[in-house]
Formats: sequence, C-alpha cells, structure tokens
Amino acid sequence: MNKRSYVATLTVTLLIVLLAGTYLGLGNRPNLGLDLQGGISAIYTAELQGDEPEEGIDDILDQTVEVIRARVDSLGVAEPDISRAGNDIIVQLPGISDAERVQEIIGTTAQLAFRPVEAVIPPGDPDYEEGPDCAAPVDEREELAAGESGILCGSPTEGASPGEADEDAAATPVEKYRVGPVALTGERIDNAFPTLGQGGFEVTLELDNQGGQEWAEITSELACERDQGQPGMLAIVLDNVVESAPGMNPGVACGTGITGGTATITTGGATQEEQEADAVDLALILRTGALPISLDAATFDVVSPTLGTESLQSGLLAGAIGLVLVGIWLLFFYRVLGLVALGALGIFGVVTLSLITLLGNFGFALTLAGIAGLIVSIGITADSSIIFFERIRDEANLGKTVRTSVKTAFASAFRTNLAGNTVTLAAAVILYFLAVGPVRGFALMLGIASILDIMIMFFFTRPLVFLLSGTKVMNRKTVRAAEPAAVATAGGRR
Amino acid sequence: MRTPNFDFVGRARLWATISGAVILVSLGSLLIGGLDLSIDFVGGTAYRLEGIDPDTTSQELQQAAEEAGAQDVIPQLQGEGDARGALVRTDALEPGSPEAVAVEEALVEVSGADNSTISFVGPTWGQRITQQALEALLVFMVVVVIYISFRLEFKMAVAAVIALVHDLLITIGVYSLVGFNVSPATVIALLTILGYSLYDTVVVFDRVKENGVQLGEPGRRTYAQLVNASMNEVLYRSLNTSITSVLPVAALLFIGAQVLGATTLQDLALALFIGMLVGVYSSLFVAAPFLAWWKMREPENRKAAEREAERLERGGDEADEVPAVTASSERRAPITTEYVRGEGKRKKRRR
Repeated sequence: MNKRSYVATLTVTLLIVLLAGTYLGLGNRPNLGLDLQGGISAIYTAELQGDEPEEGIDDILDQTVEVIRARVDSLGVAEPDISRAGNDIIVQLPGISDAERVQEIIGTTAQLAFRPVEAVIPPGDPDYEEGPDCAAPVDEREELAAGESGILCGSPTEGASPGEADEDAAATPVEKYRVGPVALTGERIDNAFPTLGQGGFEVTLELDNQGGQEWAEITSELACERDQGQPGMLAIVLDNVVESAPGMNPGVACGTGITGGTATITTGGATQEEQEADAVDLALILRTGALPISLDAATFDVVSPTLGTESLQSGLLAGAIGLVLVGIWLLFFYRVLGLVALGALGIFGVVTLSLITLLGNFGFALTLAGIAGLIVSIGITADSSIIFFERIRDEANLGKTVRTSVKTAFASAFRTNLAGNTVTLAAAVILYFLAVGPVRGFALMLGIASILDIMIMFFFTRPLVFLLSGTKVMNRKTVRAAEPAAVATAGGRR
Repeated sequence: MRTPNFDFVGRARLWATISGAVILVSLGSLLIGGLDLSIDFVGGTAYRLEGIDPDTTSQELQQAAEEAGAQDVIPQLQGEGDARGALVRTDALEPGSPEAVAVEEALVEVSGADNSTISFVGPTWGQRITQQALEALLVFMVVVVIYISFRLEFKMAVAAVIALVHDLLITIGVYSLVGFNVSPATVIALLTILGYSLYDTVVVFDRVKENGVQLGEPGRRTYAQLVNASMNEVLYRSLNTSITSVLPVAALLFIGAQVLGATTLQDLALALFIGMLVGVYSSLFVAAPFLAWWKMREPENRKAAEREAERLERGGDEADEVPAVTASSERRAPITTEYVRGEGKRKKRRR
C-alpha cells in the first residue's frame, strides 16, 4: 500500500462518517426502549368460562405469556415487556409505530380449523340474510362449535389481516359459506412458512402423521364431491372467519386425496406486498401456536417510560464525563497518537448511533442495557488503538525506524484485535440466535460494536497512523520511545 | 519508559489463595443469603390507578409508594387527558395486608385516583428467558473453547474459561454479599463482562503465543518465564485498556447514580464496575498464572525448568549470565524486550 491508497481509504472512511453524521444531523434519532421513552401498553383479559378449571389457569396464563412473547420476538428486536397481572396479561412495547400490526398478531387467537364447504352464498343471495352479521366485529359474532354445521363469513378481500374487524367490511359485503363440521384442526400443523408460489404468495403447511392422514381423507372426499358437481372446496377457518376456500385441483383424485402431509394455502391481497404481508402474518400465527385461551383486549394505552427522562439525561451526562476523562487519559499517555484514538472513538460513536437509528425502523429499540453495552464498547474500541500504539512503542524500542515499527506493529496488533473481537462476535451471534427478549437486543449491540471496531482499525486508524509515520509529527520521542535501557542490565538488582 | 518487571507467575500460589478465598466467600454467601431478585424475575404487586390528576408525575408516585413501605417501585403513567391512569409495580406485598393497603392509600392520595385495583403481577423476565440465556451461555463457552484451541491453544482456552467462571462467581458473590438488587440490567451487565473478560484474556494469550518461538532462549527458558515476560510486555496495554474501560463506567456509577440521583442506573453501572475490575484482575492473576502452572506440568517443560534450576545452581557460565525469572525461584531480575528481541536471537541456542 502506498501513500495514495492510504489517503484514498481515509477519504472514503471520512465520507461514510460524514454521511452517518448527516443522517443524525437531519434529526433522525434512535428508537428508544420502554424504559427510556415509554410505548404502548395493552392489557388483555383472559376470557374465563364458568367451568374453567381453577387450578390449571395459572399454567395456562403462563403459557399464554410465552406464546405472546414468541410472537412479539418474531416481529424483530422489539424488547417487549410482558407480564401477568392476576388474570390479565400486560403487554408493553416501545414506540408506537407498528401498534396495529402488533395488536393483530398478539390479539388474534388463531383457532385454526379446516371445514368442508357445502355451499357458497354470495351477497344478494336469498339465503344471505341467514347466519352471522359480517359487518360486525369478529369477536362479537356468534361462534360455531367444532361439531356444528353452519354459516360463516368470508374474509374481506382488501388484504386485511386475519381476525381484524375491517371498517370497510360493511361497504363491500363479503361472501358467506355454509360449512360442515371441523375436519382438521390447527393442532395437527407441525410447521408453517410463507413461500412464493406460481399464483403469488402462499403459506406452506407441514402436517404431522395423523394430520396427513386426515388431510388425505378430507381432500379425497372433496374431490369426489367436485366430480359430482358440488363445490368441493375446503374452507380454512381462522377464528370463525373463512380465510380462503380453495377448491380441489383437477389432479386430486376421488378416493385418493392429497397425501404426503404438506399443503399450501394461497393468501388473498390485492398487491404483491399485501399478499406477502398476509402470508408472513398467517404463517407466523400458525407457527407460534394458537393461544391456549381467548383474550379480550381490554385497554390499549400510551405509557410513560419506566426510568424517566432524568435518569436518561444524567446517564448521558455521566457517559459524556467518562468520555472526556478517557480522552484526557489517552492524550496524556499517547499524545499525538491519543488524538488518533479519540478520532476512532468519535467515528465509532457516530456510526454506531446512525446504525442504531437505522435499525429503529425495523423495530430495534435502544434500552438502558444497550447503552451500557455501548459504554463498555468504548473501552474495547480504545483498546484496539492501545494495542497498536503499545506495539509501535515496542518496535521503536528495538531501534527500528518509526515507519518500520508502524508496519510491523499493525500486522501483529490487527491479528490480536481480530482474535479478541472474534470471541466477542461469537458471543453476540450465539446470544442473538439462542436467547429471547432483552438479551437479543443486547447481542445485536455487541455484534455491531465488535464489527465496527475491526473496521475502524483497518480503515481509519491504520491509514492515518501510516500517513503520520511519514511526517515530523511522529518521531521516536512522540511515540514515547524508551529511555536508555541501561537500567535493565542483568546484575542490576542482584 | 521501560518494560515493567512484575512477577505474576512466581506468586501464583498467592493469587490462587486470594481468588480461592474470595470464591469460597461468594459461594457461601450465595448458598446462605441467596440473591435479591427484582420483581422482573419473581413478580410483585401491581396497583392500577384510574382517573388520576393529569399533573401527577411518576416521581410523585414512586416517592409515595416508597414512603408507604414498598420497594423496587416502577411507576408508569398511562393514557392522556381525562383518561389518565397509572400502573405502579412494587415488590410482592400480600393483597389485603396492611402494607399493601398503606401503599395503595398513599398512591390514591398523591394521585387523586378515582379508582384503584391491586393484583399480583407476574415476572416480565420469565423462567424461559433465564433458561435460554443460560443455554446460550453454555453453547458460547463451547464455541469459545473450540475457537481459542484452534487459534491459540487448548490449554489457553481452558484457562480463559476458568477466568471467566471466576469473574462470574465473584461478581454474583458481591451481589449476594452486599444484598444488591439483581435486575435484568444486572444480567445484561454480567453478559457484557463475560465478553470483556474473555477479550482481555485472549489479548494477553495472543502475546504469549506470539512469544512462544522464544521458548528456551536466554531469559525465557521455561514456559513460566515466557508467560511472565509476555504479560509484562502487555502490562501497559492491559492497564491503559482497563483505565479507558472503567472510567466511563465509574462516571456512570459515581456521578450518574450517586450525585445526579439516577438510582436505576446503579444496577447496571455497579455490575459493570465490579465485573470489570474482577475481569482485569483475572486476566492478569488467574488466567495467565494458571496457564503457566499447567504448562509447567508437561514433562518437556518440567525438564526445561530442572535444567534451568541446575544452571542457576552452577552459577551459570558467562555467556548464559542472563536475567531469569522462574516460577519457583525467588530470584527475579528484569528482562528487557530489546535484549530478547535483539541479542537474544543472535545467541539463539536450543538446549
């Protein structure tokens, strides 16, 4: 590498930092966690029937908390706060940007069932007045028991998500379906994931053994009905709403059905984005399991932070004081090189903050714990510079020129840095994938910090120090070369 | 400034005694006193207030609850305008007990609430989070052992993990001993410390490994001498890194939490502060001396040490008159980087 490429590297690095700085300068701020800025709080009350076993309710509620946690976690690193209060479940989420979608996913009880369709009743049909009022919210409609036959509403076609009471539903009446008893329930589903099929997005279901058999039976029957001129459709019913009612393909034979234990559900939605969102949501709900009990969303409120702004402010102030102290120490000990280390710290701060801000758009929330992680990473970022500078000092003490010292020192210091950061990165990756809730946010923070640390050392500290090593600024004295080593002779202390 | 000369390895017995004693105290305290887990782990009591004065602040609620005898108070305001309410969570107080009633009354009085309900509140940090965090930790340790074995050496990996467990035990022990509240922030801080402690140990071991080629050279005849010299070479780095890491945390702890009164920061800063100090201590006084002790038990290294002792007994020949540091010998003299790197290489001889 020559001087020119160092200048080029440095320029690009500084441009990127400038970009990050501008992003922050335009007023973009990190999405703060519940403890720092508050968020939305939803209180769900368990619907208890009179004959609900009292002793089992605790376990069921705990299980419900876990299911909700799994659902919220799969939305991203949202750092939720989920707890039970008596028979209520309090769900608190930072920020309010995606409140509606969260509400859908948490609140949907996802009682999934497959029922054979006996007849489709389009709006305007003489029989349409029968059955439930499809303009009413889902949870106010009459429910159809598993063994019963009856009429169910179809899902609004406007790309609305499962279970939601759509305001436009009254304007565009939906179809109704006369369905038979439940042929297969959601419990038989092993896995569900969104896939891109020929006709758009669909959800692929994997059924367990018994589910596969039942699936083959019902599809075989329906194929026979289709051959006799009847609808031959299978209604996919989520919370008493027919999400879709696919007919049997011509390839499905009467007497055989669909075997093999997998099935797909094509989702509705006008645009591809809506289809995709629907497929993702539906798969999520199916995969993370049905809630063990029905929940009523009782209240939906904005809540204040648990810590309060004073805490955040004094924390930030203390952090700033700490940083100034670190700066003084580095300048005192490494002089000119201390400035380089400070520059690296500054870049680390700006780039990390803008990355966190960017991630805020995907649900990431910075909590107090995350800030602590950042404070520790200040130490680790300063360490990269310190290892490098100490190494330069060592080499210079051996009598090498400053230039050669810098070169040798970087190679070895970078290897050390890489080894240390790999361990931290491993911790981050493992914690991210194996842990839940608050630990995940922390792991993400740690991972970002260690990757940035390596990059700053390579793309900022190295070119800058290499360039400085060719100038008067850096000579033996300024890198604090050793005093004459006369003291350290063998007999000195004996 | 010259390379310092401190006998880390030679006094391994002393460090082992210190660490052993502290760990015993920690374990004892954990077994007898246990940990004071916050309501995030064990649940507590929730007071839901409806129709409170719009001017009520969370500070007022917290103060009222604390004065009425509640601990770990987490106040939260809900809603806006006329529909304003609050959710105040405290440590577990039996609903209906005089304490709980006192807290409820104090809260209603300060907030002017129209209606209040009291209920048990479950933990927000559930059993499953703890379990998954522990599982992740175990997987992490296995991966670390594999990585360090591959990148450095198996014995170094074991030494690093021992230092890690050492730090963890002592930090938790301090919490149990002093009776500090353990909150989710503490757990996150502990995880941070683990990363930091390992990072620090790896940096020291990396230098030992790099200097490994000099094993048998004058001044670094035995593995113990090699470790000792390597540690002295990186001592300034270790100290400076520790200082730059501890300074912000100390500021958070002493200025942020004490002077400015942000008590909630205390959990976090304190765990970090203790853990970092222990982490620095362990990478210098636990991991490296343990590695030296273990390696010196290898037959090859034991022979080298015997030869070295013998040479010293003889008084050593002129050419060999070099400073020496051994694990067992009380004789200590400075070794300098320039000696070993410069002349040492020219005089290179393997015995």
